[in-house]
Amino acid sequence: MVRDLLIEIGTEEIPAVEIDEAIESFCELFKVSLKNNGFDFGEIKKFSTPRRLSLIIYNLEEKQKDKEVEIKGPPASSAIKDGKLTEQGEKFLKSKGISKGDYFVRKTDKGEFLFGRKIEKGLTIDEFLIANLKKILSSIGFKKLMRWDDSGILFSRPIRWIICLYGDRLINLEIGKIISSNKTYGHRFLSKGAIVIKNVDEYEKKLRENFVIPSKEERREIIIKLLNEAGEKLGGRIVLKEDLIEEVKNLVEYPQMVIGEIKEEFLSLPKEVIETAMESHQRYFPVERDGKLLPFFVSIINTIPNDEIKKNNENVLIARLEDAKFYYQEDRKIRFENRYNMLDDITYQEGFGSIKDKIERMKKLIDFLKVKINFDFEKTLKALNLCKLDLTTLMIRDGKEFTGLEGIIGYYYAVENGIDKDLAEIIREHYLPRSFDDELPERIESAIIGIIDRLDIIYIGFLKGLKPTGSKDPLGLKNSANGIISLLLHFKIKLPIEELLEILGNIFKNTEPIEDIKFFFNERMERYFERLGIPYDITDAVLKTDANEVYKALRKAKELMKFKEKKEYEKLIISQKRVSNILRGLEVKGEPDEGLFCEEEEKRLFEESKRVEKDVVRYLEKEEYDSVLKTLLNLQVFIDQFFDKVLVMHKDERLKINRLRLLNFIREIFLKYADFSLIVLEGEKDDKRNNNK
Amino acid sequence: MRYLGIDIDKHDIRFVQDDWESPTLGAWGLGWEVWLDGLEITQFTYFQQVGGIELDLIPCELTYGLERITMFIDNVKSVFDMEIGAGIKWKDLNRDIEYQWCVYNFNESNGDMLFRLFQDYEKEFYRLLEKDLIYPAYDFVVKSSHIFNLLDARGLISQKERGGYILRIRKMAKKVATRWLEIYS
Repeated sequence: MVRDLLIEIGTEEIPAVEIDEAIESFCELFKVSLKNNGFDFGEIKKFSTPRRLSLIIYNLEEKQKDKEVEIKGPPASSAIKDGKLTEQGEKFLKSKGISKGDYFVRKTDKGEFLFGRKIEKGLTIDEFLIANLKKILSSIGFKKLMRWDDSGILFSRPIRWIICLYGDRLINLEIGKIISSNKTYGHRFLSKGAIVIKNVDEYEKKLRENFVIPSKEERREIIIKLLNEAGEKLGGRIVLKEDLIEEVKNLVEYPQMVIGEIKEEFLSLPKEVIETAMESHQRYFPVERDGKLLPFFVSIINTIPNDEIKKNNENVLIARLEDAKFYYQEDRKIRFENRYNMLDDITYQEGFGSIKDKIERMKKLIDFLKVKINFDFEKTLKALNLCKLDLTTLMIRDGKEFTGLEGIIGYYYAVENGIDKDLAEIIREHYLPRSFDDELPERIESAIIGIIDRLDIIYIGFLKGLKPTGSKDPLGLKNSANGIISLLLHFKIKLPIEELLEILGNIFKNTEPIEDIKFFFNERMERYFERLGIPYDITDAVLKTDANEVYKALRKAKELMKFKEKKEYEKLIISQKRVSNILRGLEVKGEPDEGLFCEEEEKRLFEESKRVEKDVVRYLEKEEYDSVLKTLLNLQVFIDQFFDKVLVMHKDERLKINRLRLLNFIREIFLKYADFSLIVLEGEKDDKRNNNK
Repeated sequence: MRYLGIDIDKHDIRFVQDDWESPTLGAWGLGWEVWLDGLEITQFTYFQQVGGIELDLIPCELTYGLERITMFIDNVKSVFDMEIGAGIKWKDLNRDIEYQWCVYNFNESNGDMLFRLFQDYEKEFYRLLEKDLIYPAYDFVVKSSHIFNLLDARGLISQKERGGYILRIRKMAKKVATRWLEIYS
């Protein structure tokens, strides 16, 4: 028999940002579990709101098929004597619930054994659910789980009811202290009391009647329609910010809107401040026309709108904007440039002085960089004096949700004080990128400041023993390192990182963390490149050559990845591993002496490699990395022939040294591209990660 | 809320995720801000840990918001205009108090003294804990936490530095809670 199964997990309000993933995961887990247990079923429909995660599984079999199973028992020698079951044999059958006659003897690899045979009854859907639902629910994968009673059940938020209905039949089960029923609840306020669901078919209809739109896609559509209507009505448009809509749709079961109004005077505040006031806490939608904000906002609410709700929503926003206006007015009483000495009052890191001290340190680093990297030094220096000034403003210091606007506030205040627009942009940009996918600055001066800024905090973090471990990273140093890598890649900056670290070491009079930091960077680079699809060993290989030129390393790595498809790839790497193994621990200096070659193969290899070296250098200069690899590959045949015919460790010391020099010469050529010997080949068991570090 | 005279059927009431955490006290729980027409009027938390220790019984905390609910009922925009009773407003009783504390907290507190006190309190905590004077020791955790708040209010601790201070207070909280359990459970 097939019928439809409804499961509804009724909860207190689940975090909006987790609902989408939760329902997908719930459905997938359920599906897999049904399949693994041999149940046939049709389509599955998913419903999710803040207060429920529900599935309807259509055309689900009521029972698994029965199946015959054979169970292996003790060796025949001890189970059967004189053609009859021994005590041990009987015991086995009894313990497995096999009826007396259903046994046989079968020969296996390990001798003859007694086997029992029985029909295993298929599970009913009831039995399946009792056995599996709890496990499925606990596997959904919420970010945080909680307990709410002493049943030991963990979930995102307390589960308050469970519907489990097969067609019109209630399936009885218990999850923690909840016993399943056929009762659901509608909208928390607009609907009153429990609603009985008589059969699966009426579930959706009953919810709708009780002010619940159970489909998240439908709620999303409704919200977009409402927002567009509002935009049109107000003669502007609402920027449909995907994240905000996705969140808001899961904050409501019954989306409706109110359009609120604010006084025009608030529009003199920076746009980002107003947007932050609307979006970050209230989840209101700002309305714009031609990129400028209008004095309106839209609030998506979870009930039938009325004037009082509208007015109250306005008041909340006004209070936030009043705060912002107060900070803004107070801040303007001090000229922006005159805030520099105020930086001295803000501790940066205990034991490492104030923000002002930090800026003074940064100046030293930038002074060093001016001859190494091409950027406008004077402009950078000016920007450096300005870039942290907004940390002294009320808006950033006290401004609650506005504190996240550091850089942006600096930009506005600088512009207002008549500071050069370009400098103002650097103030804003030097925080970019804030995360992996964030926008990047336009100006290299912003990048230089951004890099030095982050390097400084990394150094201090390591000095204080706060280097990231596992999931602990109180200073956010991983993100800082990622930011540096993004900037280096984007601006193709050749950063003498070791020298910078040494300067910091001198300033702090402690060079201890330098090695650790270099290792940390290498690790971050491995992770960063991994996100771009490059395995860690390739990253290690290219970084060996281009630790200071990350963008080159990345391009080389990508080329290597393409190259990996080629047949000869493995051979090439093996030969480089061989070369590097032979040379390991040896001090080999100087070029080989042609006069000392006795074999044709070594002569040929040297001639070829000299030619290849020239090409490699030329292609590297032109950044034609695929040509470099092709050229290196040409050398492969000669290397192989050399190893086949020539004995490196010759007993004549002079010949031996000369051959080692030849190998070293070749290794140096390859090293111009990367350290190929660090690449891990498939099937290589040893963990390179540990060997190399 | 019905009892307080708020007709909840005519308002938009929502439960918006806001997990509460006092990193300094090693206490956290999951819960919500409760919104009344977009205004956060209270916060509801199912505690999971206190002093870094997992709880067997889950307490619910319904915290702050009385004045916000009152503002709502009184239909006033400022907390100062809230009526305390018999025509006396909040501002009549509390305005000076609020003002003076604001001046102290934001302008007048003595940073050097506070940093020094923090060190002293921390030291005193460990001395008391050593002697199993856990109630007084706990008092010094709370005092340290308060000093931290004062420093924070003045912006004397940078965003990056906060983590370190929080960790130090949390360590104290965890130690005293653990010791309490050892003695009393």
